[in-house]
Amino acid sequence: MTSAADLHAGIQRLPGVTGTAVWKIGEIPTGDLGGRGGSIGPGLLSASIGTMEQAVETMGLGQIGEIWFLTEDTQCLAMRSGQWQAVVIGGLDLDVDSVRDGLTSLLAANDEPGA
Amino acid sequence: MRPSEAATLARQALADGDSTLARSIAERLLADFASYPPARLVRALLAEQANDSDAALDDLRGVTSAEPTNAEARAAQARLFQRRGDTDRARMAARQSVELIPGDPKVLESALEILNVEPDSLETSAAVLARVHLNCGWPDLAERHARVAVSESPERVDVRLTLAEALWRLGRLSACEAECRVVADQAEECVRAAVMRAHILSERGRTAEGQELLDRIGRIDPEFREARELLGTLEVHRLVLPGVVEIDLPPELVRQSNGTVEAVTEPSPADETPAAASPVADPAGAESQTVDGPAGQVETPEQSTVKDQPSQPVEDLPESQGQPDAADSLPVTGDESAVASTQLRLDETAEEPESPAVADVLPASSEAAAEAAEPAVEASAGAAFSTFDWARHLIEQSEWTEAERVLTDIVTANDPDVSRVDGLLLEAVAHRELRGSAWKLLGDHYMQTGRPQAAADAYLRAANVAGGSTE
Repeated sequence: MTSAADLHAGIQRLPGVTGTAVWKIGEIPTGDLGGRGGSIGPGLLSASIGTMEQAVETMGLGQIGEIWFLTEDTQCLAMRSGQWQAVVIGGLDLDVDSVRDGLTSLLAANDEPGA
Repeated sequence: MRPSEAATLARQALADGDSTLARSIAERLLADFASYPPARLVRALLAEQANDSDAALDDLRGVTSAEPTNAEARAAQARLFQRRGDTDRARMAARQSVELIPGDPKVLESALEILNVEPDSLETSAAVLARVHLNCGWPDLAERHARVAVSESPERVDVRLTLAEALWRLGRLSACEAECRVVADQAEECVRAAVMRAHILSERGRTAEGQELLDRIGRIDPEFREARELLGTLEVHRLVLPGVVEIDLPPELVRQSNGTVEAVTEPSPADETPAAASPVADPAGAESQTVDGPAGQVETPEQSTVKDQPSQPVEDLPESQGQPDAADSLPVTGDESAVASTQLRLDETAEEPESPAVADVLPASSEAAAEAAEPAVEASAGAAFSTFDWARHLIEQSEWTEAERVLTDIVTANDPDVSRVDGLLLEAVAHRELRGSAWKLLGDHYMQTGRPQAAADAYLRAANVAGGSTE
């Protein structure tokens, strides 16, 4: 069974990724957003995305599979696969498509069957 | 009369079919020590005889909380579950009883009957091997098997306790403390875990806190038998065992059971306390004492072996312990452990063999007994050694770093009682020194429990605290 720390290390190696938070449903988000937000950063970003997911579900719009947003210097991609959720951040040069592919295969490979 | 002697009388009365006498003695004991396991066990067995399963199970829960390794209580639970038709739980409790290696053949028979197996067809499990190795004084092997047993049955508190004790005997006190916390969360009144934690605190220089915890144990185990057994395996320790409490059994109860104790009892470990006083006058004697033999549990936590025989510094003691009675409160030595380890078994309450002859007992005056009883009853209501209590205690004592560590452990353990964790963390955020970390932990806890909105709010507050501190 893969731990969040292993998965975090794998995601961190994706090209252009500067920070990651990863967690399993019912567990504490772990990771490092490249020093942004300190020790609270991964939790805060994960919880905020979780809040948006909850709101979307409450409205009956279904379950979010992916969220992407852009700020003046950062791109952020959040994805869910089975029990795992991950948030990655990178600079404006981050190739979101390639990171999405890498993230999808990493999360899918580590998802437990039947989860 | 000592509580264990009275409990022995109650057991004898029960065995002789005199339920009234057994109940009277048990109730008398429980009036003074509401959580005293041997008395609760007698009451549970009486309730079982009377087909009052609820009352019996309630008492047995209390017994197994204080003594998770009590095989007789587990066997009784198994019988009661069986009677209720709850076969799964009956088998689980019966297996637990068997794996605790009961010394009483009747207990073993009762458990085997529920499991519906012959003794020679029982599989040797990791839990059994762990207990055997621990009893034989091989804590390293015990630890190895206990870890396997824990991974197989993480919910088994008795297995956790075995692991904790193995770690304690190996001197791995931090790991032991963590296991003790898990034990205390499942079995709040676990005496053995509390004794180990008291010792660990004292080894970390927090003798007063360790002593305070040890004193609280007296509300459940008034003779400090488990403390004497465990601490007796150490050559030296800083804790002071309080004096043994005696109860005033009504003369008619003693008369009814007169002459029956002597035949079946042996001296209690507590009886050895005055004898153990001599090594203090002769420190060399105390230091040279080591426990030997298969039941001696020879391993000594390593931190303890390098210390001089210390006397409890008065300034470290809580007020109530400031002037301990020298005759009653001397540090325990290896001598006692030899006595204790040969007499005490895992299912010790099943047999209660350690009471001295009635004739040797000095009856306490009724006023003294009443005085002793009052605080004991009052205190027993709040006697618990859970991590939650410990965290609150640390917060009260302004031990912020340690409190943060314990709070982190609580969140990491992901206690199923969500509101209890919420409450504790919300109490913690009220303290300026803990605010930042407590908000973050609250955020973590909210995430664990599927409340991202509340988590985001908590993390934001933590970020604000951190920002405020930086400014």
